[in-house]
Amino acid sequence: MSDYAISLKRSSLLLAALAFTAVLTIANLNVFGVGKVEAGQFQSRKVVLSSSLAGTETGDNVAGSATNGSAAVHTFTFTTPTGSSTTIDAFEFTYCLEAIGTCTAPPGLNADTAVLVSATDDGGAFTTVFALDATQTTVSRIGIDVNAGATNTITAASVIVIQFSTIVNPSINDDIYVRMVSYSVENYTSAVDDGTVAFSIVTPINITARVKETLGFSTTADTAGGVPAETSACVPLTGSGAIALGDANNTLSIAQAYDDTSYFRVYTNAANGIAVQYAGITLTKGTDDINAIGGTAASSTVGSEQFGFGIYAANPPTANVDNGGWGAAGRLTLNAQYDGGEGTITNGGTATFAYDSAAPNTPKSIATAGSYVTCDTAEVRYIANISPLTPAGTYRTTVVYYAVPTY
Amino acid sequence: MYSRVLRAGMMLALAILILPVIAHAQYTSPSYEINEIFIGGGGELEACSSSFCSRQSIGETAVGATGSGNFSAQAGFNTTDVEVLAVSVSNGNIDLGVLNTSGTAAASANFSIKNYLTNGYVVKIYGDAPTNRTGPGTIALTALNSPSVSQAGTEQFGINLVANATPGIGVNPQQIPNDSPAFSYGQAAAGYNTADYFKYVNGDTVALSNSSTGQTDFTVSIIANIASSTRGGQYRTTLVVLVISTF
Repeated sequence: MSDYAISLKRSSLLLAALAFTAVLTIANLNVFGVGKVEAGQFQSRKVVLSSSLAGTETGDNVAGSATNGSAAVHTFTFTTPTGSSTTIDAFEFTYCLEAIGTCTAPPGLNADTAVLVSATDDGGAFTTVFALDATQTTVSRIGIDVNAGATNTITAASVIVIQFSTIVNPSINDDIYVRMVSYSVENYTSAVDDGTVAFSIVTPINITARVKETLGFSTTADTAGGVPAETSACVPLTGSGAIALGDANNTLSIAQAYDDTSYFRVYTNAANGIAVQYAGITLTKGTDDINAIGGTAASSTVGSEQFGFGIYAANPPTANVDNGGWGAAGRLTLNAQYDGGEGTITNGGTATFAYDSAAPNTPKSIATAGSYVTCDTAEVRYIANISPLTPAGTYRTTVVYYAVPTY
Repeated sequence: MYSRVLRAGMMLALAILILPVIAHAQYTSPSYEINEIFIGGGGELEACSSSFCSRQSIGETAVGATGSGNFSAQAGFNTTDVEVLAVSVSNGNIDLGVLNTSGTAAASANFSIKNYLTNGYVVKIYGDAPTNRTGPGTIALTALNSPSVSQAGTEQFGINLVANATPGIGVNPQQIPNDSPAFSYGQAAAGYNTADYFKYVNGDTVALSNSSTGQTDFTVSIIANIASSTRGGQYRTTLVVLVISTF
């Protein structure tokens, strides 16, 4: 045999070996699926839960809320494969602890309580309405289909959105996979397309914090150094609360009314508001007293017994006292019977006063707020008138102020 | 004649030996699917002793995620052929203590996410700002609806997912095992990704990954400030971390 013939045979053997290699390679590739055409896969698929908490977490007990895992909404969104239109008469959603292979039902999950909220095809209705299939729905699987005999056609690359409510989420913090399969007939035997989505049940982040309840309440009648500015700290008032009504000798007159002032300052962070109250008897000397004006505001009546007070709602004569804006957020609202302190106190003057001593141990409200009070300072104007029959002597009383916050 | 048969046999054996190693992965389109193709040195997905198992590979020329607008792939022998979403939340019980007007209360919670064979994920956080339910009504701390710095004395509630200097809390998203080379791509979302700026809007996206990703560990930094007018009492809330993965 010639060298050429030997070389040719060797080359043939080499070619045969290479061909065999190629055949084996292609065979291997085919074994592992190259070019394999199977059921299509849903694209852009996801599931969105209203709550990622376990089904044992009831939160606010509102179905579908973020904190209520016991009545969750599961919304599946996916796009059908490209290609041609397909008859789809049923969908199946199977919840598993595994993405593929053996399906272990997630503990605690109850999909049997699911309600089909909506099922849309590219934002519109399916050609045939889907309904929950109770026979195919279990604690870990939901089936929906069209009525027997009906058919539904889904065009290729349609965005399908199917939403269920009142599902009890799994009771464990784990990763859950939902295997979605579409079927061409409603007996769930002719699978068309499929795809898996996943969600996670996680523990919540629970945050707790506390804010100290605050109340600052102070009174004074001492204006020697003036009323201090409120400042951001709502500086408390200090000094004596003694008031002397009358002339320079502290003597009242039947010819004119006399007045004097005191102040109160308050702040609170009470969530449910505050009431500023007073209680006390009228000016008294033994068994004699000067009549209280009463709970209804009245102007000064010179020559008649009167004792009462009113708050300057505006234009208080003293600096660093609030002069308006009552009732705004973070402010007190003055009781209408006690907000007329501004004005004249001549007979029938413009200022009005009230003082209810009928039940002296029962506090009466002079100002309130429905929530917090940042810092309010009020000037309280007292008035006293006497009649010619008022017995002489020294009359006294103690007016007690209260601040009652409700947290 | 014997030597020729021997040579032919050796060539066949050589041909079989140089066959590309083929294993499972997933390459799919609507019209075809390739399962776990691998051409390279190879490896062992279940190398086990009596005590432990490991996954091994050798001679890999490239590893990690790759993709474009039309496809994505995981390179390397040690990839998975199964969709994976793994989420965990830790340090979820937070007590911010007694709040005051002169300082900022701060604390951190953590969550981590791993998500394979996906087009990415978004993380949303749901829940009210801490709310005072001691009265008949409910009053919540003022949530920062735009990124803002912490201000003591001003009522604020906010979070972010990055390292901060003021207050000194938080950690930037940690890619596991390394930032470089990266196998994980989780990141803080806009509004929650600037140091010292905090925000909280119920249902906002706070983190995301635009691709299939290994594990990313996130730290949620939480701040609370109060004003003097902040109502007294106990404030509580439950924040829910919801991860939405699109496969």
